[in-house]
Amino acid sequence: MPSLVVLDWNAFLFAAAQEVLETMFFTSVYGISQGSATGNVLFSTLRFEGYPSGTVTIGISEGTVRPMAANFLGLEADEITLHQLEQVCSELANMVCGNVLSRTAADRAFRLTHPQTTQKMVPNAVKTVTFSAIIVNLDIENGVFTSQIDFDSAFPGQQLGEL
Amino acid sequence: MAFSVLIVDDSPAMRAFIRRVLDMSGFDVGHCVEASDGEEALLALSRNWIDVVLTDINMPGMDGEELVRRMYHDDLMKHIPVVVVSTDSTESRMSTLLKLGAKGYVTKPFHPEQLKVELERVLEVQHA
Repeated sequence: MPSLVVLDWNAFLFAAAQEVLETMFFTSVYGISQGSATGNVLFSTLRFEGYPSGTVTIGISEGTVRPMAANFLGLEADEITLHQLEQVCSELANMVCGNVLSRTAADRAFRLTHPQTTQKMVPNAVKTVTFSAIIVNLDIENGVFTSQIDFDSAFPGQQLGEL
Repeated sequence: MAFSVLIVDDSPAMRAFIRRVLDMSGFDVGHCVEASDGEEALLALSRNWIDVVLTDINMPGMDGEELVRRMYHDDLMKHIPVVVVSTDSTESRMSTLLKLGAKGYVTKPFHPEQLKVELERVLEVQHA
């Protein structure tokens, strides 16, 4: 049984998202955003199973992710297909999830599912706080990057909230 | 010397990124082959001369761990160095892969230079 230490999941999620965006997507992170991604938003979700278990979701508007995908793939932004944008979002979610879990439990094994990416129109910034969720919105180049962890249940050492 | 590289990842975006990183970093890639899982990788290894394999772990079908295991039980493939490129940075997983025979491990996210350094380290060891 893991020790009952208090884990600052908000800080872990912030650091994970920042490291992935800056290192792999060459995208600057300016800090915490008061809003969330709006417009035609791509959401990518994957499940992690271990201790704890839950899901990680990232949300980013098409207009924001397009130049990031161009950086990632080495293509011109206007030649990237929607399918490629979805692939990039899936990879982004996968890396954020892996990175945040490694910050909390480097000696524990997790199983990750493959990310599923969908699109949804989000007309206004949504502020959602649930008991078992961690939400971090970041101001980045060209928009807002939203990342969220939903745990299956509260567990020892968990600190919940929103940044 | 130009190296032949096999990139194994179920994400076409990640394969494209790794190719790009190799080009950007100045690593001397002569020939680059791609596979989306372990089975495709074994087929590619049987058909191409490959100097080094870069593989993800978590893939549908044959995963990276099984790929490494099969390669190191094959007399023709066991000398080809494998570098694991994965989001999984748990010590138990790293230890397992290295014991199975992987020669290097790079955790995503990584700086482009890190991948080049790891590849050069592995290939120098292999060709020493």
